[in-house]
Amino acid sequence: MILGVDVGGTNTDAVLMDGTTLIASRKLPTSPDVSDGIFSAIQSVLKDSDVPTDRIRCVAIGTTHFTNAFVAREGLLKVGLVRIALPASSGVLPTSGWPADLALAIGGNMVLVGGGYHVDGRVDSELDELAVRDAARRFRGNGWKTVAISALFSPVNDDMEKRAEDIVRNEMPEVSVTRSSEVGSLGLLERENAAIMNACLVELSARVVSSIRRALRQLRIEAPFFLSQNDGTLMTADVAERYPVLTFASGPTNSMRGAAFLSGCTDALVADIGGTTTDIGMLSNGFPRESSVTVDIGGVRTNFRMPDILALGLGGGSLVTESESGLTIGPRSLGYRLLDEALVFGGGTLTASDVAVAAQYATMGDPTLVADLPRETVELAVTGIHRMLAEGVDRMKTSAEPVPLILVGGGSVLISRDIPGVSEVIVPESAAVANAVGASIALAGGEVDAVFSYEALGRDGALAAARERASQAALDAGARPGTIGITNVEEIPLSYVPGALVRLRVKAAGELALSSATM
Amino acid sequence: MSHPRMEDSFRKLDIDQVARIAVGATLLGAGGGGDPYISLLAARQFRAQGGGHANLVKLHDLDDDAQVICVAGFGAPTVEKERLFELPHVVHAVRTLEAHIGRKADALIPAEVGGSNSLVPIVAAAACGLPVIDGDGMRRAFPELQMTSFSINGISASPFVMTDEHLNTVICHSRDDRKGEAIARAVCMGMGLFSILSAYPMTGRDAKRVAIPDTITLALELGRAIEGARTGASPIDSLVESIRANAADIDVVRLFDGKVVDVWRSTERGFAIGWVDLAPLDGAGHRAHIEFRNEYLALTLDGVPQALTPDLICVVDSETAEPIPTPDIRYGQRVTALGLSCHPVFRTEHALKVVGPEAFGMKHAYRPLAELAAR
Repeated sequence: MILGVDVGGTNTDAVLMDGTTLIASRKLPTSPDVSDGIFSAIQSVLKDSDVPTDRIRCVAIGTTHFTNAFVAREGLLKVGLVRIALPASSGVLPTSGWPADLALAIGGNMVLVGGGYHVDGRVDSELDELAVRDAARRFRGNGWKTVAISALFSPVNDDMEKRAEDIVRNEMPEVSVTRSSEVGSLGLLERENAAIMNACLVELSARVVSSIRRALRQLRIEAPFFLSQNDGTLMTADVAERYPVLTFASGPTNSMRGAAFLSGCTDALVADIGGTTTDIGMLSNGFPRESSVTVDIGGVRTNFRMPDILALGLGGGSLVTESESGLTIGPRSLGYRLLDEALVFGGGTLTASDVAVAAQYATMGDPTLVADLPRETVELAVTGIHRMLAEGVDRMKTSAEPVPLILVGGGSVLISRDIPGVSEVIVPESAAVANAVGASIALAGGEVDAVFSYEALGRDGALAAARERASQAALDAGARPGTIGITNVEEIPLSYVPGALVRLRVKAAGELALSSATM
Repeated sequence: MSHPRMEDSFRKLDIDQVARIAVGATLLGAGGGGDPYISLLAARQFRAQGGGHANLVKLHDLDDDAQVICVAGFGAPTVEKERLFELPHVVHAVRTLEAHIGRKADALIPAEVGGSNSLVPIVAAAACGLPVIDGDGMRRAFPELQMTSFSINGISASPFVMTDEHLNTVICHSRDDRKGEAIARAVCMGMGLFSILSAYPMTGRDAKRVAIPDTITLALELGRAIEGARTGASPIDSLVESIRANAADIDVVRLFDGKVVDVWRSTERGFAIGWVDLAPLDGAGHRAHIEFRNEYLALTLDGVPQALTPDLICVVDSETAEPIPTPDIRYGQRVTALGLSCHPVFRTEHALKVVGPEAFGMKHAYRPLAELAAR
């Protein structure tokens, strides 16, 4: 059996899955120390289900904790950065474009040294090893505990980043090192940003991962635990400890994958309606369609692969206000104060949830507290809620054909009517814990992102090489041989140059080989 | 040396204005030209490190005997995003061409105010202590050397200089600009698929004859309009009004409102080719089909052309009026396709052979935007 846990900003959900069957689930408030909430949620599902802990084969955890910490600038370390790219790149220094306070929070120890590769992996400049050593000595003098290393075209050839890591470790034996090629793809600035973000979070991740380990030990769970990555695959606790940045944006992926699993529907729209917002995305083959645009996290530009999500200011706690210009719903919301301040819970604020209760299709709180609401207001608001969702759904559809819509999240009770352009609305059982279910069913995955020459290899040859490398990466990440499949292939031709150079991003994923995974 | 009268006419460009030019230039890129983000960061850094502002000079304020040089990035945007920006070799490209022709430059001119090459000359000019001319050779983005109003009007790109960050330097004299283009691509390969080009050395008198005036100001005003459009009631209308207000000679046609329902991409001899299908928001009715080859080149409705290169096809987000370049176009986006007429220099029979639909391997015969819209 597998335990799936989702640690959100508001709630921590846990589910216990036996194969494809949901045995038990529990939703509890997130605790300031995330491991306390994980402990309580797991303890509850184990108690509810009466399953002995030795039957747990794996614990999969999805969390927004590291994203939130970065955005809130909490617990960030000062980072020493070595960029291996001179003579290129000096006109755009590291942390260019960052919010000033954030750049200040992570330090100002950014050193550019000679080195780097060409687009095809040949050497552009030799690595200036002495300069790397001098940089490491400066970092050591400053007392920095974490170093990020980026290099020109390191996704194509990571030898120089690795050599620089050795040099740094030689000078700073205790240091934690993030190489940019491990956390990002082509685009030096965005990849380097990801490396710096990761480097500044490593102390926090070590603390969080060890506290989760401790919590599981107290629960007498000996199974290995994993954290979700943004592409819907899992990484081991050891990897997560070193690469917290890879958990960024795993929440929407888990909720969409969970929705696919709970509904049995692999090609559909998913709307995750929470307390404050609704996230709408499109599932294709059971995986979320990904966005190709750059994403700002805490004001920092990254090129993480994220699900293509449309966020609407609509949720269970959305304020319903009337003014001369008409009735508006959201984007302001009571959020977690819903349970105290909404009308149905004895408060004084009219929310989307109150309207759904007054219209007699949702049940929560005390319906008599909203019995006096004017019928016109209720009707206007209910129509408004459905119109907002319908517009969002229409924006995310890829064709005019009607498609199924899966509703998940606690706010899914707001929807009772048909949505135009939708063939059927599916509200799976346990829709409220779709995130945790998504975490529990995640796969082990690997990715390759590099430039290939179709002229030299032929298209088929290049694709085969990329598939092979992605499958190997999935195997290395803990996938069971024989279950590995290619989940995504993207061909991006390099424009304005001859030679049929194509950037290939290929992803492979397979079931976790649990018997061989150890802690 | 520059005449005092010319210096009196300088207008300082501050960094906020450069940021607006980047937005406006992305629109004028008609889907191509590369992302000016890197050049904008380079401009910010140059300023933050105590570098001077760039000064803008009007084309008509140029002295007739002034020396003008064009400077541009040349190569693959994907590679530019790794190698970022390095000022010394940009300056080196300008200085090498000056030394080769035996004359100091008095002003730099952009090849294209469209995409990232709108900003490269602005940063270069500030670093070289030279003014940048408010004008260019395209008022849009095109991929090749012979596709400038300079070249079409008889000003050769040669002699031109290409440099990389190692200061590897190539000086080329080519028979004509098509051959120059072929040589430059080969050199660019050798330099790692991205280089800086200084080219089209010309006098002030020639520049006034062959360049398209006021295009940086146009990009600046369009950038301002797009910035303001986000908060307005009808962003597309305000953008269209701004284009009409700032360039009286540009016809603007609202070609299509809808959403992206299909995108196909491929590669062909270094070009990112493909097409986009747009359907009306309610799903019913005609679909628009846009072909691209780095830039958007043709928009058809049921096979009937509505806009053709060299006229500009600009795809913008329907809600924010922000331009969407071809690499960023994706399923589900709600977009408006605008047609903007090109500068008249590109509509001659001779020019159409270089930048018309047939030059890009398409079968459509060029008809001006206004004529297609009137049918």
